[in-house]
Amino acid sequence: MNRIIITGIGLITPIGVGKEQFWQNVISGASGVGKTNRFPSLPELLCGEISDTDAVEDLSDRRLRRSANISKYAFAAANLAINDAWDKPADNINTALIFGITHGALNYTQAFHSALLREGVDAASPLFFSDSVLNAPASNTSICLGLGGSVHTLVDGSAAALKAIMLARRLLDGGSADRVLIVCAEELNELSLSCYLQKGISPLSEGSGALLIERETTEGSPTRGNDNKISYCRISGTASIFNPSYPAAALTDALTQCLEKADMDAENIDLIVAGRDMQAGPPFKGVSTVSITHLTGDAFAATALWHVILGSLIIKNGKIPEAVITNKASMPDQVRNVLVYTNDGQGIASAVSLSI
Amino acid sequence: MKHNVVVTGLGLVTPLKPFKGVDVFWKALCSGEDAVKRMPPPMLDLGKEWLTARIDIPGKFGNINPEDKILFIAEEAMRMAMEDAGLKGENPPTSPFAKGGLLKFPPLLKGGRGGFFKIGLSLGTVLGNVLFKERRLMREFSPLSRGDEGVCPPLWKRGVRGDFQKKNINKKESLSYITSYLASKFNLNGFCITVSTACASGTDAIGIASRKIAAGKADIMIAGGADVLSDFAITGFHVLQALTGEIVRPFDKNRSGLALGEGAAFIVLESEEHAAGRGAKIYGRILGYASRSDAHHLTGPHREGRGLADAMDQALSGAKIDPHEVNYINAHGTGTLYNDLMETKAIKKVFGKTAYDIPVNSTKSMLGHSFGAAGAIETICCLLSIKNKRIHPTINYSEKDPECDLDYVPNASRRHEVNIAMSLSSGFGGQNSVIIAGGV
Repeated sequence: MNRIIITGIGLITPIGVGKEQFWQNVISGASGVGKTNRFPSLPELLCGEISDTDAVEDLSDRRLRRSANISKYAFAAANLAINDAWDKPADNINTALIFGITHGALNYTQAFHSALLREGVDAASPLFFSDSVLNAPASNTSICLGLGGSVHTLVDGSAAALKAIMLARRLLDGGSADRVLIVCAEELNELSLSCYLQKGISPLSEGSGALLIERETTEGSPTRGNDNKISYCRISGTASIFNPSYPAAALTDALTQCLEKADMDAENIDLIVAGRDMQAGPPFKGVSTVSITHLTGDAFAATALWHVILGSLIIKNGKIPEAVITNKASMPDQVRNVLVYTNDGQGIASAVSLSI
Repeated sequence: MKHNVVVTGLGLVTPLKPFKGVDVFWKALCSGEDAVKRMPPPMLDLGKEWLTARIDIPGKFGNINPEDKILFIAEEAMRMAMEDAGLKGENPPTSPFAKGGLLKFPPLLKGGRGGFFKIGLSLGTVLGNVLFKERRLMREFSPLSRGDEGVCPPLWKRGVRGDFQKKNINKKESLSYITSYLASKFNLNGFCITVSTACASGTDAIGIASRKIAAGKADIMIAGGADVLSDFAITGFHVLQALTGEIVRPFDKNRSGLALGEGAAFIVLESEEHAAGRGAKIYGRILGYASRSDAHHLTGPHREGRGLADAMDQALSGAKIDPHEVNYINAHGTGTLYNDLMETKAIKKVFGKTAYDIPVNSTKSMLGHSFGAAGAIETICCLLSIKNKRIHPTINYSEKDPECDLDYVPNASRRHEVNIAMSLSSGFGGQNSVIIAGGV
């Protein structure tokens, strides 16, 4: 099994564009959640919106000017991650892209349908259709970056992010790619919000996250041997469990399997990163938990990837920001191993461990 | 550790002889039966009809809500594949999300924990249960229901809070709901994944699952695809001007576009030693898989077939197979001007002069294009071609295109000793995927 390292990070979040702004606001506890009247059929809502649209446009590609926001967010984060790794892919055929998504470009789906009903079949814009297809954000990103490797879109809730990391890792292990971009993105839309509003779930949010991961050589550098290269941390373990018959066992199994693969025990974990109100169980009772959700809102797979990025930055920066601590237990002198997990409560649980 | 990946079960529901089983389907396919008919879209009255290939649900199954059609056909296809592979549980569940025992198998191989083998599911779908979304868009978010025309206020203002169906409808709209539904229905407990790579989804779902088996990460994976016709899909492809108004005739000089279809197809994958250990019959092997992106255009293929050729090259080299060993290609073969030409160029680029000796056919000439199901159906066609030593025809072929000059198996099936078959899929966004199947 190869050692897989994170070499590039990119984010578009309600609390900042890029890792520096994001980290600064995590430290200060600045919230990106506010009231919005963006959706005409819905009441005023609390949402985590991307307010710095100029920054997103600056990072975007001219070819995406008419694309759905989710594609712009996806490309911008991917672009940031690649630039963060100081590496424009020279050998594009061996760069893969694994995309995690939950709802997709529903604003365009809605616009297409609306045009269909109002103006008839021949008046609907083809762009509203093609951008609505769930692989469109990944494909738009691969087109703008010129990535010729495997491009896969995985659909799920927050688990899509961690499953994307698992699949990316397998591509690297199997030699099918030299580096993999993992991107997750979501955009706020009326169609989903109306349901979550009725369920009483809020605030939702939007944005994107991206990781560039690569195999590590025995000397500790990426295989392409860039001397200037920094790596944030290793992805030491991954697991995903589906067990609808025993949902309670799914999380335990996912965490156990993840630790087994990382060759660690629960006592090796210094910090847990997870969604709000999640409990990892007795073995992790003494471990502090952090979450970004109260600052950003929930953007499903994108939030799960923000959590992985948060864990990576904590390892890299050697500091646990007070503002994101949701369960304060023992505080380690040094954060060496972080466990990130998702759990939908209905039998789907996934986990990724990050190590120094 | 690298394991040989074998296929031990097949199941499909297509517009051609639906619910009749794999053998009846194959016979109809080899007879050149055309499932494409001119029909209106499923929900909206748009004053138009399109050529589509649809699955009629027989009355004996009762009234199936249109929104549940994808779950129904996918469940039937999956049940068919699992039973074909001898994976029948001791206590099969009877209702969605039933709390039953796990499927039990004799602990034939070391690694089967307590007699339970981990069975995972890899599903490819493009639009999934988009009909749920369409229904809600019409009821709740259409220009009329918004109150724009003074008809009525939005639904959320009409006191529907707390309604169970409303609360769950968003969940059912998600593509991953289909995977969860199927996995729950059959009490699967392995790795489950929902892949959406446009019209290559079914092929990628099988490829991802086969890699998991090859790496020794799963005992058994069920893999395939499912999609159904929707107003959204039909009108979307219509505005893209991709649909034919006449007849589907892939690779023909007068081809004018595709017809949309629907379907569900699954195969059961396991390692060769696992299959042998439980005495399962083996249809064939999955020898190789690769996917590559065109990185070119969101809706059109690269004109020279760059990504598809790369995927074929990669799949061949990964499987350590020389191009001349391949003796059958099941093409993506949609019947659009650009796809068929691009595909022909890509095949010639990879196979050189040998390309002229390899029969290439289009399953979509009879079934239409069933999106995420297509790649899985066509992988099954490859396996059946290997098993039956016969390849089905490309129907409606009448005039040779000077630029599409390969052997497209025009209009009649033929006996052909297939040892190594290749299934090609391409899709929106420049997705290209290739599966190589071989005999035992």
